[in-house]
Amino acid sequence: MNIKRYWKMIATLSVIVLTIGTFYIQSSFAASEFPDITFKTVSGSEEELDNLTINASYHEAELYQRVTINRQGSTFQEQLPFYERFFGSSMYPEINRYEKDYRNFMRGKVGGTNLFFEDDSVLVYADVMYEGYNHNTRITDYSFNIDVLDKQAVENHSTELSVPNGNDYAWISVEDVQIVQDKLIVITRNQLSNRSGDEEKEEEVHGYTFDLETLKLENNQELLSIPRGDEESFSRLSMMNDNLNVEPEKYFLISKVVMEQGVLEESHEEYEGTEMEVNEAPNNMIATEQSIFVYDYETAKMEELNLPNELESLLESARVTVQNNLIYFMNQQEGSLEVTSYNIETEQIDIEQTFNLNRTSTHEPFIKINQDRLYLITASSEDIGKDIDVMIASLSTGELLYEGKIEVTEKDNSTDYELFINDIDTK
Amino acid sequence: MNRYIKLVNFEFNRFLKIYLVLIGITIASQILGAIIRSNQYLNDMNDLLYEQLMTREAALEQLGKISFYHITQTVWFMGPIAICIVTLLIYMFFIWYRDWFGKNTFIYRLLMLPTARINVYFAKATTILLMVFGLVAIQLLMLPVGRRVLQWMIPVDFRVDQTIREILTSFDYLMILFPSTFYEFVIHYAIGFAVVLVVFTAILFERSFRWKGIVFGLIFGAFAVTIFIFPVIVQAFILPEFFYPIELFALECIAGLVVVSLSIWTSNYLLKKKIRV
Amino acid sequence: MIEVKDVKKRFGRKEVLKGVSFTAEKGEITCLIGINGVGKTTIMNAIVALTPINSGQILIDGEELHKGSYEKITFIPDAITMLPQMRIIDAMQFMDDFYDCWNEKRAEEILSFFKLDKQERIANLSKGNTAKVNLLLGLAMDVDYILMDEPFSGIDIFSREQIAEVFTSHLIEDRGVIITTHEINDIEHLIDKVVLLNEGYVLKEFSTEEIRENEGKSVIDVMREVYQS
Repeated sequence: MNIKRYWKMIATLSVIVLTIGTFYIQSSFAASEFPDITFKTVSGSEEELDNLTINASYHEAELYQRVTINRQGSTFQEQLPFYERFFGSSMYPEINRYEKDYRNFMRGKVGGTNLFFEDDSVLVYADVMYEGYNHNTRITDYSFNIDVLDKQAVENHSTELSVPNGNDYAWISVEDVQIVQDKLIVITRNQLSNRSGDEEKEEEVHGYTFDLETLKLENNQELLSIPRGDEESFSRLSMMNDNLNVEPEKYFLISKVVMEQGVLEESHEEYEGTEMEVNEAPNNMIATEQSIFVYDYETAKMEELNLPNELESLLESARVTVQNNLIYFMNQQEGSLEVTSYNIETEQIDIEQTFNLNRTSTHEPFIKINQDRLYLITASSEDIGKDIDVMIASLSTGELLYEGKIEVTEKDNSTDYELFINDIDTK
Repeated sequence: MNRYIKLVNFEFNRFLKIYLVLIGITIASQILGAIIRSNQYLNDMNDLLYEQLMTREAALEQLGKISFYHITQTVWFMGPIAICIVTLLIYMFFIWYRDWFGKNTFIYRLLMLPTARINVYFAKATTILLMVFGLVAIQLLMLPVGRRVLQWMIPVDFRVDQTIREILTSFDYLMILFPSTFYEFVIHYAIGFAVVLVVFTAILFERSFRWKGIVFGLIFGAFAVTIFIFPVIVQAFILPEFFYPIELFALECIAGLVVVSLSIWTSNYLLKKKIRV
Repeated sequence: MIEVKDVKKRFGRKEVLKGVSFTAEKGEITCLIGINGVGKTTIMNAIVALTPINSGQILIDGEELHKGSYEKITFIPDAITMLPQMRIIDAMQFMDDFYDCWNEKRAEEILSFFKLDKQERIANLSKGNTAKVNLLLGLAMDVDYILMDEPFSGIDIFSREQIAEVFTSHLIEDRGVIITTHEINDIEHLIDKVVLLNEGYVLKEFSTEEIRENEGKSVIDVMREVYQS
């Protein structure tokens, strides 16, 4: 073969291979140039970090990457092998774990951790599906989609059954799934539709009880409802339980706020624990009534909490989270965080601790409570995402167990990056 | 194999003139575009600074800094890319039909070569692929060239320098041509190549059965598309979210391979048994 | 030997070949004769698999045509099989590239016999010269069988003479040739065998020598007999 006659083709081929090859080699080189993100201990025991995983977004120039940070270091999305990027696509680590451990059971199950319940023996999935509007019967149908996996036997049994009075609702969302002895309880928020005929009610919270064996619906309890809002006043419900929690819980807490027309209120934003999809308050409304309702899974009773006055007054400004029988009120002050816990069972204040925050931050810190540990991550507002403090403290003693920083070591010494914390996981 | 390479070389040289013209247009237009757009910016800036007597800060506030993004948005930049794409799309058909039409009967020669006729099909497909990659490479080379033009024309205080990657990520259409990882690059162009093979098969249907062949070709094309999207249809409508991403990816790879194999097998059959001059 | 056995071919509803059978021997020139539109070209195309047949069989030295057969048999259609932008030398190079049976020496010989200029572009050639180049590309292959479709049509008288001369030369000698034509005059004395076709049938297959010696008739005489009866 006479090479000379092929030179044009060979030249073209060389240009292609060299150009495209160089481009992608450089790209993958750039991927290996990801910075190292590590914890830098200031004081305390580094072992406290063992349970902590931070999901963050890293942004530098052309790069926008998801990154997970733990004690061992950081892993950027693009550093994962090609095939592994297909796993762990869920934003919930718990669900990623299920997909790994119960691969076949998890098929076709989408949604967040609020749809799951897990204990030592079972993994339960419960969702309400919109089945569509039938033009002939003029009925909107919703159905429960329940699947229970027996972990030991690796067997599952499932059911699909209609939601009673489905036609009344514009949408239904599952908030929590629990098992109490041989009963399966699904808590839902049901938004009433215009055709329900009920002009009074806006939204209902339901507790549906199923027999765990037969998966038959045994009880349909309306736990709480709020009236339709108007220009004068309207109400809002928020579910207070950590919806990332799939473990057994004893109580389900709902906060209810009634807003009324009043003087112009300084707009304040609420973060975690409040869902504001529906009927966001007009700015000139103020909260006139705030209360917390507790549903006891065991007794299937709903009660309004009688909070001590000092806590009642915190309801508006503090962040509230629930763990087992304790309600934590976290009130951020200039330079400090006050944590007060209230025991639902004893109806007493359990602990009161004040933690010093290292820097004054107007940014809402990420706070997570797990058992006796308080995890706190703050970012300074002046220098977004560059100076992140990590603090781990004991709730019972108030002792600071760990204090440190998240440190980004750029390979090219650039400081032109931003790091945003998306979520923290303390398992 | 040897004859296949010779055929590729032959097909490549046949289109070379038009191809070089395409490359020429791309280079000229994109450099010119960079000059014109930069010049326009300079004029606007001069107007603000010297006619309206604004301060530098105020002028920058109003006009903003210029970056290569502004150049990629011009018809000078996008035009040649569109021309190249359209030309290659047309050539995908022309590469076959030119052998049948005209005064010569070159298809007699091609079909009477002492080599499997499917090599002609492969050679033509390879040529298209080579041309596509060639233009892709040229475009990739033109990005730093255009950027350099911008840097020459605009003082550093008035421009934002972007890396090649930033230029690409700031413009969706370019991301299709140059996806961010090599895997995606392979996937994009593998799909493109499969499309070429399917279109070739449809053309051979037409060339074998003429009018009826157009119908067969369209049916074949629809069938190929159906096979290819079948896993996605299953995932979306029949078994919602049943497959995990990696499984869906594997199924798509299989579906793609089925489509490609079917195309090659069908084309081989048509070329051997049904084709006419 | 090329054997065409009961070949049938339809174009849509029209049956062009209604069961055509004949043979062509190596070392002989077989002429397919018929009024235009009787399927001569279709038979040629079918023999080299350039058009599918509906039924029947075509064997070349006892086997069906396959890719290797194109080193053994070639077809010279009535239009040139090379691109107009090629020079003659490019066309020859192309042949040399793809065919093991290409005989460069013979190609040069034919080139000088036809007095053609290698550097000339095919697009610029006269009709006669185009036909000559076309012939050259087929004849310079060391193949056993050559099929020619109307090699004399639409060509000036001098070219025609020159081409006819080829048939008596060593360029043809041992090979089997099938030629179609409707102008028998130029080559009547050259051909060994005639296949008369009409409306998709073989009307008569005969050896020119036999009818000349046994019946004292020329090919034209036989044609007149057959077609006018």
